[in-house]
Amino acid sequence: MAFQPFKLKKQTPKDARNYCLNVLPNSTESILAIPNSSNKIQILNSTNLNLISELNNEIDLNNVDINFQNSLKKKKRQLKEVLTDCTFGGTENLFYTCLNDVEGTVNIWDLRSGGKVSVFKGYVPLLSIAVSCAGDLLAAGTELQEEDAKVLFWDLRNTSTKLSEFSEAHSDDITQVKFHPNFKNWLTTGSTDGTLSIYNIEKTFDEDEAIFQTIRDNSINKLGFFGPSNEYIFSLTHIETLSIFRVEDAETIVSFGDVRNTTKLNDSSTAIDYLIDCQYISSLMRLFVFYGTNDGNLGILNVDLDSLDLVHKLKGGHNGLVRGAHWRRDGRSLVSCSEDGVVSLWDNF
Amino acid sequence: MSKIQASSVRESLRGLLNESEEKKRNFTETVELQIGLKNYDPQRDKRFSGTVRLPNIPRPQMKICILADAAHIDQAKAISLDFMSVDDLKKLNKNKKAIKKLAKKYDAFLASEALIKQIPRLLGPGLNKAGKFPTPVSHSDNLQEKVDELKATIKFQLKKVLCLGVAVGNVALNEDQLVQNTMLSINFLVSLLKKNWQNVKSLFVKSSMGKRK
Repeated sequence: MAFQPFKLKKQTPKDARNYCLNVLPNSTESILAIPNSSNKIQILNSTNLNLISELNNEIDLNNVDINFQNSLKKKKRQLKEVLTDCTFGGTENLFYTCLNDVEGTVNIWDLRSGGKVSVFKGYVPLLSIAVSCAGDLLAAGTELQEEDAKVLFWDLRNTSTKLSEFSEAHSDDITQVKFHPNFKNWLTTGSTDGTLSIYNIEKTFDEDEAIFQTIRDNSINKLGFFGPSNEYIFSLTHIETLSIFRVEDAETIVSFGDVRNTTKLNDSSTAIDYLIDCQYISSLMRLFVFYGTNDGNLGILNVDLDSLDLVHKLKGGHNGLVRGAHWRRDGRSLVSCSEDGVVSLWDNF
Repeated sequence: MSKIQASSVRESLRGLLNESEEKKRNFTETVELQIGLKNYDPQRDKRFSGTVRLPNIPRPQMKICILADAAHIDQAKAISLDFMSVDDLKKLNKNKKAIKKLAKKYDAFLASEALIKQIPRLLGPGLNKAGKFPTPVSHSDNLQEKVDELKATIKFQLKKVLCLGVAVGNVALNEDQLVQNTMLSINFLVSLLKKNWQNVKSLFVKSSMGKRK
């Protein structure tokens, strides 16, 4: 594959106190959501990075349930909530965020007004969030509390109460939850316990029945469905391994091991320090993995069955670790964001 | 901290072994590596969590059971490894208490590749909950090697505090073996940190009952 090299086109100002943690596009790629470590989400125009709005997830201390204020004092745990995950989903204008505060807050935002339309409480710190493709169901993965790491479910058509929960599949923090993009009843969860699980909730929320398969991997960092009909799952772990599994039978298609050691780039001057995320480009029917270097560069590898091959190197865009990237589906531009607070727009035409 | 020399690790471990030798305990003391980090924020930096495989088995006493198909049952018998057949698992009848008991009895499980996918049907998520979902073994794997690999693999995870301990060995290992395990652990863990050695505040080795070195 021959690709034109990327050139840096535009950047947002540096803000070293504020990590930018991810780049999430809406379905038409017209806007990008950039969550940051000040618990805010910047909504940017994807073609020029102009700020459209900012969603503030800071918790108003005065509004915290009085019972929880007391339990906080007991546990001496500060109410230092952190925005842990967010997602587009359902209708185009809605955006979902979750926090690891003691109240387990889920905020639902209307992007047209920039205001909160709904708030759920899971009463357990949340780490991951997903919305089903039909937009009717919300799932959130929790931190391990006492003996339980749970997946909580809410029916988005009837938001008042929690619909159900799973508490058996994992023995540690649930760092990822993802719904299948085509089949609304399938989801996968990943945990620092080193496993990922696949569920089918079509018939039941009885966890014993709903759990389809569990796969042993390593401490899960990122998971995602991908493929022409999303029949595969990629998994990135905290020890920088990449594996691919098939959904229908949980078969391991390929395991690349520690990509830092197993992948030799044809250019010896660059090292892979860590993996950022994967992205499937459906027009090319290919999966790509973004990698980062500790000095703030990123690169793109094409994922083949037997090798990972360098496609692009994007240098000089950041002074901190790149935490998120999105390659526009037409291949002509890319947006990356970093711990230096900078969002960079790159193009190659 | 700057890069640590194998010689200073060796010196600390020698002291640890001598001390353990002087004051024998009636169990085999574990050797723990304790790492303190700095310039690292567990709330917003990348998580520090996973496993690392050591050259020498740190926990030889680890109890392992294989959920085995017919071929693996024969191999398990040959190396006197505990096993359970599909029929044994069926007998548990998805009984949560019985599965919990099984999970408690062993430190880790292996399972034949062909069988591992039946586990959710046979046992439900009971092993998951215990954090003991099996590691798959294929027929082309050497079972003894898989057992040793499992015993040699240690877990590490940084929670909300900036220090963590990992069991890298025990006092029954010799000095060279302990140095190998400790150096490999240190180098692997440091390689995962974004500023590598600049993120390391302190390193100690400690035996179960001994002092920090």
